[in-house]
Amino acid sequence: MIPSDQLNAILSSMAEGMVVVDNDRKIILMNQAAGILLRFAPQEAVGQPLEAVFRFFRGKEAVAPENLPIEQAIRDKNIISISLLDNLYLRNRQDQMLPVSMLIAPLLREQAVSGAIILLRDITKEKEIDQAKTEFVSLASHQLRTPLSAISWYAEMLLSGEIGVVNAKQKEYLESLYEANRRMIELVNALLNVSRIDLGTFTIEPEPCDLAALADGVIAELLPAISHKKIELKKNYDPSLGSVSVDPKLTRIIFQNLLSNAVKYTPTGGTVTFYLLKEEGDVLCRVTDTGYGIPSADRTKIFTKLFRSDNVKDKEAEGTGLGLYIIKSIITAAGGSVSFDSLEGQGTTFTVRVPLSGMIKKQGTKELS
Amino acid sequence: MTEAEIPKKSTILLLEDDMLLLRAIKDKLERENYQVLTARTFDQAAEYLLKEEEQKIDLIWLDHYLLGDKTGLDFLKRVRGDENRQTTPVFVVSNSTNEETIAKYRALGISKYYLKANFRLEEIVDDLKRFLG
Repeated sequence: MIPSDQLNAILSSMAEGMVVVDNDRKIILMNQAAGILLRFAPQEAVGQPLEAVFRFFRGKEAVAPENLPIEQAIRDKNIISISLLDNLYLRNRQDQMLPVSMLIAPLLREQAVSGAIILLRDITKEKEIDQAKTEFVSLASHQLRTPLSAISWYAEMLLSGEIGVVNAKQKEYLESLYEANRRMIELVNALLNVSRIDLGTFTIEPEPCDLAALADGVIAELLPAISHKKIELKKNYDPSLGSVSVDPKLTRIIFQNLLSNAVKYTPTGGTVTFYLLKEEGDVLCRVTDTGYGIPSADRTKIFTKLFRSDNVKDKEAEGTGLGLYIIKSIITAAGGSVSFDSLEGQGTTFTVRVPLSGMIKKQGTKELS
Repeated sequence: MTEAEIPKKSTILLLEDDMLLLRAIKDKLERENYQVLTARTFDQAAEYLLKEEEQKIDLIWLDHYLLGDKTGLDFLKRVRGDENRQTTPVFVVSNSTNEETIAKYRALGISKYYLKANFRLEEIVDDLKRFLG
């Protein structure tokens, strides 16, 4: 056993903040580093409920006590790790909002959980670096659009034959150039959207919309790819849907990503079905395909930025690995959700839900495109 | 009739800071038989406004970022500040998607706003042709 004075010295010398709570979420121990971070004298904090000492925020929204990661650690008897990507802040006694990373472990005594140990670290510096990275991506993508527009427009004029006759082989090469450039423009657009999502600068502007008309518009745009792959596209819209209050641009982005993924990752001759339904107070957009499916090992990663499953990388060169990240970010911010079911080799179903009451409005400075 | 004898249709004042894009748009519009006046800065474009007695401007093709400190928005303010130019059609063709900026353009009165990279040149020119009749 370590003598208690030595233990105290270790605790008070630790660089990371440590807070220990009991099963009633009352603080039973807090070290010096946590005291500095929380602007709360450790001896004063002991015995107080956790939320009296500090509160957690995700972005700008307060996290309800029952949704705290501490509850998950205790309930699942598991160590929970909170990183930069979780966007978690704590508000201390001086009302400072500090971005934090955390490790939360259940406090176990003879197999029984008697509370939780929270290790806290201020990640202001990391957050600043992440912000600088995102701003750089945004600026660079924006600057890329000018030369990309030039390539696109010159190739387009050559292809149209208005400058002079282009022979068949030249035309074929020009088309390849034009197509590759289009893909680059799409990638730049997607990167810009991601940077706006990461910076939190995008807007959600709900207005009454005819979802069926929005879906038909997206389908019409993708018809060339659908017929090229001889995919049978079925539509199943609930006729009683009426208009729903959503942001039309964002909804288009969601529909477009869902449908183009389904078409991209379904082999020639497959079937894709686009549903618009009502269920338990929600509007559902569901897209099912008979495609390659998502390997079970990748299930937890598919909404991660730039992730692409190995089983599709070989089959399909296109795809940025950003579409599902964009969908999840938009729909979460709008008060909806996205889920999926998949069997590798048989197909995938994605379901996006929005409450019938509509999307939540969000003030921002940039539109997604 | 030789090309030189075909009467020019309308005159378009084209503001674009990027040389390659400026040339692409100018060539395209000239092939459609429009008279094109080009400018890469606010001041160059403003000169054309002063000389409008010699050359009437039927439509303005406007980029947001220009060479120099002033933007397309400054130019549009100048245009709309003139009571004879309240209804001159303006096509803003830019790669900027900043909503506040777009809203400012709309408030001053524009006919169209295009995100350059997302449109074929032909689509924009087709719209323009419909606009000028």
